[in-house]
Amino acid sequence: MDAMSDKELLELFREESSHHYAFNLIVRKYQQQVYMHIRRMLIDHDDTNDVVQDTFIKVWSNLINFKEESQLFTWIYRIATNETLSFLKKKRINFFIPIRDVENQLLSKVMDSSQVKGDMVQKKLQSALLTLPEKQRLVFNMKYFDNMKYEDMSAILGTSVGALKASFHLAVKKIEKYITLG
Amino acid sequence: MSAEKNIPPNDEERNEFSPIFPASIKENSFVVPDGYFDELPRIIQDRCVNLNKKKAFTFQLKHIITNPQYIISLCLVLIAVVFIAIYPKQKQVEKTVVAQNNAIESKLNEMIDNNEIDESLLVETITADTDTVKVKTNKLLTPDNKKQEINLNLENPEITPDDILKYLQENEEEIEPDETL
Repeated sequence: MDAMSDKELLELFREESSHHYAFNLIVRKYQQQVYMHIRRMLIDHDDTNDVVQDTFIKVWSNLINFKEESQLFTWIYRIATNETLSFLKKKRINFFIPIRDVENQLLSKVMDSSQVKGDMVQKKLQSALLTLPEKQRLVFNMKYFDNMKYEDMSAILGTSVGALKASFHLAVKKIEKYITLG
Repeated sequence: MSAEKNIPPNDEERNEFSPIFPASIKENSFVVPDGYFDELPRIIQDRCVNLNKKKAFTFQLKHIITNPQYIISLCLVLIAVVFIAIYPKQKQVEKTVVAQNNAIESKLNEMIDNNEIDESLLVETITADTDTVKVKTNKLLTPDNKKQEINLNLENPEITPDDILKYLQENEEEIEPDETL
């Protein structure tokens, strides 16, 4: 499975006889990365599961029209990011919850050991991340945890490399301050 | 894309990472249910298959209801259905009336044949009473020139006195004023 490149997977997908098989391989190849990307934003597994599935359903629906102007993973990541942000937005709108309360809800999930098993440092970092604006949190996650290049992040988020670097730098400072102040 | 632990790809980016973060902090700290990633592809595949079925149905429906030819055909079919649904009922009502009139006529003919009434007599006034119909005539039936009241006893339970009343009124030829007996 890992031996197949994105190009090969796409060629396989375009053939009617191997349509489903190719898509299955794509899901298996990227499911963990997509899952972790979303999970870091939503914290809760059930919410993440819903968004992951919606992401891949959208991939399935639109893959036939994918023009390979960007890398396949970048494209999938972009869908996942948009779905995650839409989910958070809907949560606020549907339940008339102020953004602060959404953060508090996520914070309580970070502290819930059935959701987050890490040590206190990891939980502290997750708590610190929740104080960041959503897009800044995304930037930090993609840079720090996924070790993504700024150019790829730019393609995913539609933001310039310079702005992303600045955003990441600011995020690090805020997190440092949060952690050192306790 | 590999997730290097705390090792940035180049010197420039290395400086951006804070020294307070230990390497272990990058390890996954989220609880994931056992077997989740084994099941997820199958679940997604099932949803995709169902999605295709829904899309095919929606596409067909959209294609039909936006096509003018289909719309015109649908209208014609609807008109035909309405017509077909109403027309037989109308015919049925007419048949029932004819059948009933025929039954009444048969009954009267039978009574004439049995000399219960004289067919030459004109029916003047009819009254209906429970299960009999009283028919008054304006001509003498008896040798003493007395007008006679004849009761038509209904044997056919489907025919009510009102039915015969109505029939006789509708089929009257000449009605002369009633003369009391």
